[in-house]
Formats: sequence, C-alpha cells, structure tokens
Amino acid sequence: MQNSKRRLLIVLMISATSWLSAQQNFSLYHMESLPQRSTLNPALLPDCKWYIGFPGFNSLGFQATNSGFNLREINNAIDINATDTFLNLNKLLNVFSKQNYLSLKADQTWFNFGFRVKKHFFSANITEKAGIKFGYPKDLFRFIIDGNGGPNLGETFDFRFSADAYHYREYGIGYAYQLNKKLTLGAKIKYLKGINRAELTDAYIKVRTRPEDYAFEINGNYQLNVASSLGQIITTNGSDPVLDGIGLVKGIKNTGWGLDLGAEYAVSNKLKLSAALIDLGSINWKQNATSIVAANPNSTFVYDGFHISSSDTAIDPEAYFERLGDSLKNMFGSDTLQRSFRSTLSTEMMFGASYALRKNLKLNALFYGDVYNKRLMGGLTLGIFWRPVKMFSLSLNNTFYGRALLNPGFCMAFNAGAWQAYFSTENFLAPLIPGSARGASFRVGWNFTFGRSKSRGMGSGDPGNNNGGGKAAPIDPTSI
Amino acid sequence: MNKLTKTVSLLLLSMFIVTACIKDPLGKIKGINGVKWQGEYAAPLVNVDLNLEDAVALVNPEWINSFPDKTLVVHYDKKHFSKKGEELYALYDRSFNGNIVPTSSELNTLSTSGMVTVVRNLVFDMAPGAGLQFDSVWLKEGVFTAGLSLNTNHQGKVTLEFPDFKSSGLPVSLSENWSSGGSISRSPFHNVSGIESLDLSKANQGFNQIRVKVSWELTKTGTVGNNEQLQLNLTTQGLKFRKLYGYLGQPGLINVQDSIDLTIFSNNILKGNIVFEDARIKVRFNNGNGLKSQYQVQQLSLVSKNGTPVAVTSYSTAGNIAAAPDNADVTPIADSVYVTKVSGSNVAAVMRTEPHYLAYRVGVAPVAGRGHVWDNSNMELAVTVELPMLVSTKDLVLEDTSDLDLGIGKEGDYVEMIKIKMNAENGIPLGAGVQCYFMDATNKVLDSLFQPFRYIIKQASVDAAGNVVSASTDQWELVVDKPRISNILKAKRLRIRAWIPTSTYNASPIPVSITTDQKLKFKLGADIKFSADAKF
Repeated sequence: MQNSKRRLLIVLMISATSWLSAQQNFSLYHMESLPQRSTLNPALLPDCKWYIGFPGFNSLGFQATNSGFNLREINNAIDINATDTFLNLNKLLNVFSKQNYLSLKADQTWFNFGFRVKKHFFSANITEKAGIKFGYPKDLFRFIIDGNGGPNLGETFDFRFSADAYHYREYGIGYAYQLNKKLTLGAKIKYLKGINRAELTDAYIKVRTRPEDYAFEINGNYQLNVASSLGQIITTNGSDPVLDGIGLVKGIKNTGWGLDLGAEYAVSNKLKLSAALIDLGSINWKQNATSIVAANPNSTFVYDGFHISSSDTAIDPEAYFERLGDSLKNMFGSDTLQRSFRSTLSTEMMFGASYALRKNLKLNALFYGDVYNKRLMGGLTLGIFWRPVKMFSLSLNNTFYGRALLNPGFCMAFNAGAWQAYFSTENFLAPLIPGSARGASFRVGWNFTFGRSKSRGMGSGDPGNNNGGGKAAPIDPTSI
Repeated sequence: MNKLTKTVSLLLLSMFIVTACIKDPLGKIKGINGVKWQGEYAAPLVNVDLNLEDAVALVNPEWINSFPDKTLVVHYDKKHFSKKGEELYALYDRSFNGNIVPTSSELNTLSTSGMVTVVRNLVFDMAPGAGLQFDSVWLKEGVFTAGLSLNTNHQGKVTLEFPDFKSSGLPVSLSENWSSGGSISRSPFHNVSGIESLDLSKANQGFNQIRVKVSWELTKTGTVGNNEQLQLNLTTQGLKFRKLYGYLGQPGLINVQDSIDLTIFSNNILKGNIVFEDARIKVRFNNGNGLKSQYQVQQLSLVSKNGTPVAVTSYSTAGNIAAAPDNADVTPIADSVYVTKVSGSNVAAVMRTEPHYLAYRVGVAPVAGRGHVWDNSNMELAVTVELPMLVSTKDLVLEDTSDLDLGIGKEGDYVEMIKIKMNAENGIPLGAGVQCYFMDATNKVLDSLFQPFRYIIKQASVDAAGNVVSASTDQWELVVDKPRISNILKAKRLRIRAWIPTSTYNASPIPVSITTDQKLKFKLGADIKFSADAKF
C-alpha cells in the first residue's frame, strides 16, 4: 500500500512537472522585436534600448508532442477490399520509430528585464521550468505483434524505456557585447534551483530467442533517481512520504549552474549568420535524493524451458518455480540508495541564417539539434519574417523533422507604444487537422519595450540599421 | 484595405487552402471493421535432464522399480491378504451370576462387634470358543458391569476387585455403599479406557478366566437375621482387543487361486519381440501375526497366448513362515519363495515364449502352538513377476488406438504453422520412434505426424557386454503446416505406433542393461505462427 502510494506520488510528480530538455519556442529565434529571443541565443538582441516583462505574464509556454505516430500514418496500415476495411496490425508497426517519445512541458517567466548601455546589453530573468518526457521502444510492439519466432529468432528485442520529469527554477543574468559592426557575442549564466526530479535512466530489458532451442536470453538494467525539495518521496523504511509545499520557495538545496553562449555575425548588409549553444550545465540533486538501482545490472537470465532435472527439481515443480522466481528476483532486484545525483541540462545547438529580401522582409533558416538518450535529434525550419508596419511583425515558417514534413508555425507580435504582446505557435494546423498532428505548442506574453527604432526595418543589435529582422520558428526539436 | 488586413486575409486563405487539400485521416479509420494480423512466437517448452531413477519417480508407474544393482525392473504384482486378527477372533459378551450369603459366624460377628466384612473369591469364564485358549488380552474398548441386588437390614458397602485386570498398572475395582437396610439394587461399571491388560491365566484353569474378589462390609444398623443376601450379575459388553495371546488355533489364513496378466506380452505388440534375459517369479509372505505359519505353493504356471500352461520348475512348494516379533505394534516379517534361473528354474526360458499370464495357487495356515495377534495384523501374500531390464528387442512395434478430441474449436483456424524443435542426448541403450496417425471416425487415415517417419530418440552406443559407452545426440524439427493442421483438427481417432529398438553391437542385437543411472537429456521448443483476418 505504501509502495503503491509512493509510486503514485512519483507518477503524479512526473505528470505535474516537465521535461528538462529544450524549453524554448524556436519561433522566437528570428523575431527581432521580442526580447524573449535571447533565450535561444544570448547574442540576439531586441530592437529596443530597454525592456521589462509584465511580471508573471511575459512568457508563458506550453508544448505537447508525440514522436510515435499520428492518425494519418495509421491510414497506411489499413487494408481495404471490396467489402471490408481491416486494420493491419503488422503494418501498424511502421508508424513507430525505433524509440518514441511523449512529452509535455511548460515554462513560466516570473520576471525579466534588459537594458542597453552603448555596446553592452544586460538582461535578467526568473523562470520556472517543468516537464515530462516518456520514451518507449518500437520493439515492445514488434515483440507483441510480429512475435519472436520465425524470422525474428536470434534477434535481440531491446525494450528500452526512459522517463524524465523535473521542475526547477532559473535565475539568469545575460550579457551581450557588440564587438564591431559585424560581430555580436553573448552569454547568459543561470543559477538553477531544483525542486523536483525523477529520472529513469538506462532502463531496458533485452530479450533474444535462441534459434537453436528457442531459449530466452534476458538481461536488463534500470536506475531511478528521485529528489525533491518538498520532502522524502522514496523512504527506505517503508513509511509514507511527508511533503511540505514550503519546499517550493524555501530551503531548496538542489542547486546548479547553466550557461548559454551565442554569436551573431553580419556577413553583409543582407546576410546574417548566428549560432548558439544553450543549456550547458547541470543540477546537483542532493535534497531527499534517492536512487533505486538494479542490484545486478546487466545480469543475464536464460529461460530454456521448464526444468525437469535430476540435479535439482526432478519431481518438484514447486521448487523449480521458486528457483526461477529467485533468479528473476535476483535479476530485477533493486538496491535503494540515499545519495545525491547530477542531472545535466539538455543542451541544444542552433545555427541560424537570415537573408533580407527587402527592408521588412527576410528569409530565415534555422537548424537545431539536441541529444536525448544518446541520439541526436534535429530539424530544419524555413520561413519568412515580415514587418509590414512598425506595430506588427509576423514570422511564418514550416519545420521538417523526421517523417513529419508539414509542421507550419507562426509568431505574431503587436506593439502599441511601449506595450508589446506576442503569440507564437508551432504546428498551428493541429486543431484543424488533428489526424496529422504529432504535437502542438504555443507561447504568449506581454512586454514593455522602450527606445525602439522608429523604422520598421531596423535589425537587432544595430539600432541604427533599419534592415528589419525575424525568422520562422521551428517546433521544439526534442519532440522529434 | 490596409496592408495588415491584406496580410491577415492572405494568411487565413492560405490556411484554408492547405487544410482543404488534406484528406480527413479519420475517414478510413472510422470504416475499420476488422483486424489483420500475423505473428510467429517461439518458446522453450521443457528442458529435461534426468537419470532413469528420477524419470521413473517422476512418472511413478506402478510396474517399474529397480534392483539394488540399479537395474530397472518391469514387474507385475498381485497381493492377497488374510483376515485381520479382530476378524479372526472375538471377545464375546459374557454374563456371570454369583450369590453371597453371610455365614452364621459372620452374622454373629456382626451382632457382637457391630460390623463384619464378608469376602468371597470368584472366577469368571470368558469362554472364547472351542479350542481357543486366551492367555491374556490387551483391551482397547468395552464395559464391565456389576449388577448388585441386596437384601439387608444394615448399612454397608460392596467392593469388587479384579486383581488380574489392570488399568494404568493398577487393578480395576468397583464399589457401592448404602446407609440403611432394605432391598437395594446397584450397577457399578467400568469403561475400558486406553489400553488395559487382562490376564486370563491366573485362575486354576490357566486360561480364559478372570478372578474377582468380592468384599461385602456390613455395619449393624438393624436386626441381625438370616435374610442377608447379595446377588451379583457380572457382565461384559463390547470388549475389543488390541492384542491377544494364547493358543489361537489353526484357521486357514490364505487359500487363493489366481493369475497375473503379463500385459507387456499380451497387449499392444503389433510385431517383433522383446526378450527379458533374467525373468523371475517371487512369492512373498508378509506375516504380521505373532503366529508361526506354513505355506504351500500348489501351482505356478506360465500360460501361453493359446492357454497352454507350462509349469515353473525348481522352487520350494512348502515351508514355514516365521512369526512376527512381539513388539508394541505390528512388525511384519517376510519370507519368500524366489524362483530364478540361478536356482535352476525354467522361468527365464519359459518367459522367452512371451506367455500371457502366470497362474498360481497358494495356501497359508498357522502351525499349532501359542502365539499372538493384533487387532489389525494379518498375513499378506504377494506374487510378483519380475522382468529385469537386461533386454533386447527385435523389430518391436507397439500400437494403440483411441478416440481423439483435441478440444480446439474455430480458434484452430488461426494457427498457420507449428514447428517443434528437439535437441536430445540419450544415454539409454533404448531408442524410440513414434508415429501418430490421425484418422476419421471410420479409421480412415487423414494425416500422420512425421513425414517422413523418423526416430525421435536414438539409442546410446554399447559395448559387447551391453553396457553404454557413449550417449547419442540428435536434433530434429517437426513442421506441421496449415493443411496438415486442418487434417489433424478434423481427426476423431488417433493411432499411435511406437518403435522401440535396443542398441546393437557390431550391427547385431545383444541384450542391453537398462539401469537407473542412465541419463536422458532433451530440450523441446515450439514455434507457432498465427494468422487472423477477424471482423468485429
């Protein structure tokens, strides 16, 4: 009962928090009028001299993605004849990648501001970030539907699962410096306070069926790390966890540091290139930190049939099943350790290019990538940025990733004097064509910006250069 | 229309066109009315690594055991039992009457002294039956009742003591008293509890009798006269013994004429033969009674398929059977008549003719003398035909036919293919080939299991003496495809034919020894392919 409560709590915590990986909305990357673009590249500066976000509502983002499949792909698994429509389960497997992910994440910036002093730009923010990501293998469904026999004999089925959930608070201080007319460099250092963390790492069960005797060779491993400033979630004495909400704001001892680095280079008056590496760093989780680890990691268990053996269980099936149970318990048994652990931020890289067709119209490209579960996940966004009038700017783009080619997104920003509102979304067709959607996201917020250029074509970091700016915003690459 | 309005309109128009061009993906999904699926699953079934001792223990057939030298033995047994001790002998309900009158001297003592004790010693006869002499009995249940009828003018007390009847080591006694004279009737009794001993040998006869001492105490409370009288009626009811000693006669314990089917020869052999080199017959007596007994084996014949008996020779036709020892509980003692070729008998030679049964007649009775029985002791006669597995076969084929109901309905249609895989290592000088013929109700063969036929286990290699020198290894796959599965599912009857070859030496059949330490290892796995086009 206590164990089930604890598991439920972990699940709730995972559900209530957010995944550590990419927190940003990439539609922002080329939106030159928005201060929030600096969260993707600290060298990308807004077109104002100083700004302050509306406290509590300057950047609220939410994203849900499913990398596994969409309803349209299920159509490919449907066989139709004259009278019947069959769902072909074997073809249905094609909708899955080798590893598939479901993720939900949200971030909320409580406070941010920035100001320019000549060639220097300073900024600061306090942001709450949370999310969850669950990874599941295609092999699980292959094993169930295709089976382990016939052509799959001898093949190793890799049931690899992952789950990440966290909730942390970021205190960031950014600095950008315009080295010369062509090159701007930027960095942001972030002090991180971890509130909740649960991560299932290196969790897999590999099953191989030997062709010669159909015996199962099974090996596996897992590690679950849990920590919380709210209290001890996993107790070693079996008692119920006691959590205290005060841990959300006080006494948070899980700390870490993060770093964003960025640069922008103006190749010519029309062409700009940029690059960024964000979320370098880690959090050291030591508050109520517990790890449940496999007692015998990577140990192998072989089941080669019900044993009827003179050496052990000649006429005692009960003894055999007991021994079999002991072997499995030995393989999947766990040790609970009270120990701190470190989780790295999900580092992302971005390479952007912007080409000005006219003063208020630009073609943009953005390649981005991150690494999750030792896999590089990347995508490409192509789009335009258009500022028809000073009070309105628009970025319209499409993102290509994996097998999903149609993922249109847009970002709009309105300015009325100092007041600025913006809204961006990825895959905005999702509500209209849910069958094609793998995910959707949005970001919304208000800022107060001051000292903006009077021209609608002025670019960032160059208040005197009215060459416009803005690019399409791709969907979060981690959802690929 | 300003630029902003144009822009927004253009955007909305684009979105409309794009979405209009995209088919509703749910359209096909909504029409689904069935599922197609094909999967193939493999799993190990059993991993057997057994010596024959454990294999026999696992299957636990009644007809196989082993000799101390580890040779496996096929045996056919029949047992006969005599009546138990409590069925042979009984303690009948008995009644004894006595009349006690005080003498004038005793009355005078009462008159002068005010009190007197009248003592009489009586003997109670158990009378068990003609010719039986019970020396002592361990009683386990029953009741002794003393009916007392008195005419007296005085206060008094009557006590009955049984010096030879002991409960928990102490003599049993019954007593009654009264406070004033009159006509008095009382019935004190004793219920046997636990095991109580009754010695019937202390009276003058030396058996069958119980001694009773009656003491009548009188205390003067009225007129002393000649009317004082005590009438005693002592009865036993429902006495049962745990153990009985004495001369117990010579009842016929066993007198049996019977036969044992030798089914290994009489059933299932389609062709070929099997030779047991050292067949034996054992007639065993287990005597649980403490009575020395005597047996007589009046007939021992092996009878052929056509009913011709051949008398077994060279065995003891009569002899004594020792009595069981006088322990607290039954401890049977065995005596046997063992008929083998070693003792010069023709039994092994006759067994080569594959007789269909053994006919026998045996009697057992106690010899004259004293002894004992327990309530549950008896004499057991066990007749056994032992066929030690020093054996050779020649073209031996067994066959059996039975009805078949696989109990698989339409679910069987989903099975596309079954593959059985076996890896075997056989250390037994005996191979096995099995063929199953699946037939319809008219015994028309629809299909067979192995196509072509093959042995499933090869026999081990042996030396010239028939001892195993190396195990055989083999592996095979049996694939049953959809048409054959369909035939098998239609089958109503099954004929199983088994080929059982023994190992040969230099291509010649020789007797091989099959022992409990010989091992058989095999792994069996199955790979089954399913296919379904199922509509909702």
